[in-house]
Amino acid sequence: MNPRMFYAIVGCWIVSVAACVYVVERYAGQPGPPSPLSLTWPEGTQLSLSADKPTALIFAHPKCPCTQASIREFERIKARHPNAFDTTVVFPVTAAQKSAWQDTRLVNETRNLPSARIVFDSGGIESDRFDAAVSGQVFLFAPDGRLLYSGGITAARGHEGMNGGQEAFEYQLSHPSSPGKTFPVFGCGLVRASNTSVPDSRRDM
Amino acid sequence: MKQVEKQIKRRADELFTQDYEALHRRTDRIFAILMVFQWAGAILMALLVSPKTWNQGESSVHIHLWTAIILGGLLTSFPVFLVVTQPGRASTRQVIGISQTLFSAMLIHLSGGRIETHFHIFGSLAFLAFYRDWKVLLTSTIIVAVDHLLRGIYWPQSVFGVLAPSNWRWLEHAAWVVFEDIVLIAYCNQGIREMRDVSTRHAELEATNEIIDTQVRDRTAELAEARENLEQQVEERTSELAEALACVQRTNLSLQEANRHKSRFLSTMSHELRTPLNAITGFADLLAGEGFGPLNSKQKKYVARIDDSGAHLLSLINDVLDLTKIEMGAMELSPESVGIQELLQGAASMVSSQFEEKGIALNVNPEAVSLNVLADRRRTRQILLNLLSNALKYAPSGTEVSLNANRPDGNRLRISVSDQGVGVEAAKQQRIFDEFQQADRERDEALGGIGLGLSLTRRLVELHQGEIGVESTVGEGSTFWFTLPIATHAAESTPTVSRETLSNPVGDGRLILVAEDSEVNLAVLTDNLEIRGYEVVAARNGKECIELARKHLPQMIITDIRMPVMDGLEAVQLLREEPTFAHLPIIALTADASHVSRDECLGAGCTAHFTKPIDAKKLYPAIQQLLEASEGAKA
Repeated sequence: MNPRMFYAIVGCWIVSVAACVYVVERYAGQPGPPSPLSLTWPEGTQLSLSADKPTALIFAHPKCPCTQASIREFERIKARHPNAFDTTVVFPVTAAQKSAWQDTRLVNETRNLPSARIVFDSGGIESDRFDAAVSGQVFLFAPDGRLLYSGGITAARGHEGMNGGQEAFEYQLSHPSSPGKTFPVFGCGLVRASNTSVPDSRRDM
Repeated sequence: MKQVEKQIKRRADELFTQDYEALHRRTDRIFAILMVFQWAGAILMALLVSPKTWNQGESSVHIHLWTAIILGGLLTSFPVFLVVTQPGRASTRQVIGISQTLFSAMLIHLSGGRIETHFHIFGSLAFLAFYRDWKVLLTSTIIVAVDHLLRGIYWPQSVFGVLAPSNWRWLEHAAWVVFEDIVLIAYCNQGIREMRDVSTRHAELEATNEIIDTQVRDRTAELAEARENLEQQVEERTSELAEALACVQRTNLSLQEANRHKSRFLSTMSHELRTPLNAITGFADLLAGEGFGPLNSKQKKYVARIDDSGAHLLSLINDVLDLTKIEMGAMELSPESVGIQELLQGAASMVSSQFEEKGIALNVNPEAVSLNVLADRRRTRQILLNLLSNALKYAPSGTEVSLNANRPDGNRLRISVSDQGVGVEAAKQQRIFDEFQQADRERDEALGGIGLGLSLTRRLVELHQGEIGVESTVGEGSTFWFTLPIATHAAESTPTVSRETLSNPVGDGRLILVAEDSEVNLAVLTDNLEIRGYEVVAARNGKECIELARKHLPQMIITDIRMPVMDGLEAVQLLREEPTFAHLPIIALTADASHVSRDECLGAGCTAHFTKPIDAKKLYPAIQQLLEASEGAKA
């Protein structure tokens, strides 16, 4: 192989690899929008709000692979703040997939979360109520129903490790009187009763 | 030496380069296989962990799976292509290093950034160290550093977990990689040093083997050449030996022929010399016996001189014939146990009259009178007579000659003859025992010697396994000595020869048939017999002998052997076949003194055998004895 051809092949290869890496990294870093901070504990929800400590809600798509990272991060947060808040994990499911989606890897992994309640939101009613659109959406409500935090707790899709969301969540636990914080959410689109898809600006790749 | 060292270094470099390239190719192949497995593993991991992505109730293929397939394929295919097409090249392993590092990044991403997956980076670096090329590690490290630097700038939370890391946070991550690099590079360098050592030793071994091979080749060539030379020399020597052998064989044949000629000559000369000598001594005896009338003093003197000359001539002939027989190995001894006193006294008595005549005292002093020696009686007497004759020749009148015998050691007897003669110079004492060598030629030839007596004496002593020598001082005398082995058994008694005198005829008219072709010898014999009272009938050949024997029926036949028409032995054999002559005494006379002749005669049927010239003192008494014995047997 003459050097010119070799360098041409190397150049094409580098460009191809770089393009793939760009696509992958862009996808990984493309969040869905968190729920707005103006949200308060909605009325009519079947979920419980703790009267004496903050309540954390995690909305997760039972089949979303990226949300496993969120659950593991949440596990670490709970380990650092035992009994600091109540936890409910909400799995919006379709009526057709309700029974099948109750036994996914993510659901089983979530069952290991200490002191966490698991709720299957058939039809996505609660996800509509709380305006949760992306799997991995975490809410932290004060006992009085004020929203302390809304957003994700991973730096990228399926990416474990320290991140701004986890930092913000833990900050709000310690400083419940501070203004609410938010962070991008990286995950799949949740089942919603309104069946509205995530706006294009919020849709993940 | 420096040249050798340079060659070894050059060869070591070649070997190192070969081994290094082989190592690279081998490692390339390992990575090619590893990368294919990694790609498959990445796809499997994507299938297991994140196969689909969801949007509410709908799913699609997760981008992770496409990443594993496409990006993983890109990161695998190009390095594998280079491994197949350009194995061992630096560009191939650099691409492998880059791909492996990017693969680690992909796997970390696919696993969701799990800290455990970061070990792939460190494991990959350790694998890349197999190349023992620090530049490959450097490339991978640069990629890690650049990745962290860019992430730190554009997406810090993806690697550092914070939104605003410090500007040098990326360096901390890179530094851990560099730490591993330091260890791995040190390992690579050590590995390279070891490879160089091995290459150097290999080169040295090759050089040594080459030297040894060269030496072996040289030595083999030298050996081959030496073998060729040796073979050639052997061939030449063999040829020379064959030629020499052929020459020796030819010489041997010539010598055998010469010996046969010599034997025939000696036999013929012996016969031809003895025959006339027989006549000379025979007639001298007849005259000396005064059978035909008395002789005056002068006649007696002349007759004595004739007799002496004949005896001397006979002695010379016998010495020459004896020496020749010894040289030809034909002399056979008849060793027996002989009493030393008998030996010495016998020899002394034979020469005593001569010593008396010259006025020399002869003393016989055997110390060990009871001892016997193992010797041929006749030949030993011959030795003693030779030595005594010499003493008689060289000792002046009025002196003394002593004949001694003593025992110097357990096995040998030493006999010596001492005189007070002229002595022998020291320089000549050894030479006088050689043929025809004399101490003083003029003096010795005047005394009638030709230099054979001592030579013959030495040969006879040596045949008896003895030694001979002389101790002499010029002007004072000499002692000639010799040794003989001592016999372990007693001596046999010797028969005495009866004496007879011509004045006492004993024939009593008995008829004797004489067969002899020589008129002279016939006359001598006839006259001697007739004087002794026998009647004689003469035949001239063997045929006539048979005819006359049948006609006259004699009491005895005396026959010569060599005769014309029919020789004596044939005549004897034919006569013995007839009963009439089966027991008739027959005496053979022959000039051939050998044992062969004697055996032939006795084997043909002769009763006795005498050699010419006839010793009258032995023949005629023997005739008388045989006749008396024959007549006694008939009675």
